[in-house]
Amino acid sequence: MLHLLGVNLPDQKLVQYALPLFYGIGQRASVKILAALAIHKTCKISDLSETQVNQLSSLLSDMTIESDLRKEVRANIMHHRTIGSYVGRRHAMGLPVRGQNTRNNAKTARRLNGRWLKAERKEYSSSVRSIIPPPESPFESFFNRKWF
Amino acid sequence: MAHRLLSSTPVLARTQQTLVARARAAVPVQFANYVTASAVVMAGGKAKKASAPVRAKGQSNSFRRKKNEDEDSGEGATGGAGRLNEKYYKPAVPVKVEEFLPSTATTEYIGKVLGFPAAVTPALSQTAYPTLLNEQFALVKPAALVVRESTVSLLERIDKAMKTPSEKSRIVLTGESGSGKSALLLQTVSHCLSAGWVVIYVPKASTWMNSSFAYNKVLKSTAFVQPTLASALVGQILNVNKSALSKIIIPETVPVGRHEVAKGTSLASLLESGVKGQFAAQDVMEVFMKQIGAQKEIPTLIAVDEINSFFRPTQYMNQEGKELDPEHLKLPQLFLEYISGKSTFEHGAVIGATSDALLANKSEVLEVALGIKDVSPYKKLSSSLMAWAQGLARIEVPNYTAAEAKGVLEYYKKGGVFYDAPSEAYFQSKLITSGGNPRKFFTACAKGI
Repeated sequence: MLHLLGVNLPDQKLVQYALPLFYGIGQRASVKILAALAIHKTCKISDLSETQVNQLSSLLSDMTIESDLRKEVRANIMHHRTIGSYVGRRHAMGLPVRGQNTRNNAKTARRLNGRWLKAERKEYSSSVRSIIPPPESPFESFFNRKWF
Repeated sequence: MAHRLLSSTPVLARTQQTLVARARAAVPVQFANYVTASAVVMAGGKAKKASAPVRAKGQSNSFRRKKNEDEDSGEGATGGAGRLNEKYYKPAVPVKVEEFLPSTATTEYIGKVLGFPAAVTPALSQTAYPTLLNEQFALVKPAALVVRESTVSLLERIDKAMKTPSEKSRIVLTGESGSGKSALLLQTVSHCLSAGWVVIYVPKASTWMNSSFAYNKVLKSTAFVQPTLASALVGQILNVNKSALSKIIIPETVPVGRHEVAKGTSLASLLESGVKGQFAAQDVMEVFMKQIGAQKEIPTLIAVDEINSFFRPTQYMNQEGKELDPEHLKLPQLFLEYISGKSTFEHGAVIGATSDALLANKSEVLEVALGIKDVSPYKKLSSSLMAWAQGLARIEVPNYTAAEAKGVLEYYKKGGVFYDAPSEAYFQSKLITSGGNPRKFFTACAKGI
């Protein structure tokens, strides 16, 4: 198990299919990373050398992935909310943003839109919840356990 | 009709039996040397359906080792991890065949099935056989091939090439799928090993280009090197040609990478240093090829199967994400120089065989260069790849003639591939349904088509 930048990469997985486990890296980005680091396509995580792992971690830390990317997405949507635009209002209401019909078929939007704003609101609340460690910290799973 | 347990072959002629009786006769379990896979899968499938293991919800079975099925392998065809169940797959009884020696490569032996000589089999076992041939050799023992007209003519040509530079004998075997190109190449390799040549045999050149070996960029160059592949190849060449290589001495001090090899070391010890140090293997390989090409006592043969993968882009990528050509990888480039005639052995030959096994390996450039295919003049073919494919001689490998097919049929009968009497009518029906194509002829005999 290679632990890299907060994500566990299983040893037996091909590197090409392990890199998309990072939030912000998909199939295309994964192939580009392999090409840049001269890693062959049938290389498994366990086959990577120390130097290659270091090169990989430095390359990944230069990209916006994981928490940096999530912050960026949240900030983009918050910007619309703050300036009071139509897009911001639709995100807040959890409705389609890009002009789709809502008479029927807005199920995905109703389920998914606005989740970035809910997280934002949770963070700035001054209730007991604020002392609960955020999801990115290493002790989150311990503190958020519901049984002991 | 005699009871099926008392005779392994049915008493009635095949066409007079019912379908059920024919199927039962084709799988006489107690006497089976070789059981057709389809019959056994049918039997195993019924047993498996009755006792299918209950899987936990949400558990995917793609990577889970099937431990449950090992326990009810009473009627299953295969045990765990690809082992064959001894109840159904008895080991094949080897057929007595003569050895395929240089003296047997004559017209008198056409149609005879000859096995690889005992002196040559350890060398051949260093590299795997080509995939589909390997499957056939696993079923009928020992590994033996029929002497064909094309065998005799090719080996005559090789014997003439023994005293000429390799750039004059660069041959590519072509032909339809299953026509015997890889088999012919194997016979050539065996012949040259028996004759004392130094043989560099590459059974699957596509594995060099399909991104299955690690690769590193060479500093200050656009080339890439494959250290593990080079090291493996060096080890293979050493094991195959150990006795011949220990006799060849390097006449003067030669630089190998950052080190030097002293005058008087044998080529065998040079290759050993390449096996020990992966990153020196590429340099060792280059020096080795130069040295072996410079001497005239022992001729050298390069035999490459799936040679079409040398004439198309590889699956490796450069740092910008563009596909690499074989010339950008150092080891394939070294071989391409000998294939194209840019480098030469003083005495030797280069033989390749194309393969249609994988569509991904198809090379239009090679087909156009050999004259197999014509393309529109407006079609853009890679000029760099075309440059490597110039001057190759093409040998078309035909299907079986009647005499060759007859010899093969007798060998299959002795090897237990089929149990019917090899009558003339039976032989003709097999020959016609397969059209003489060797691979189809084998499946026609094995599956009773």
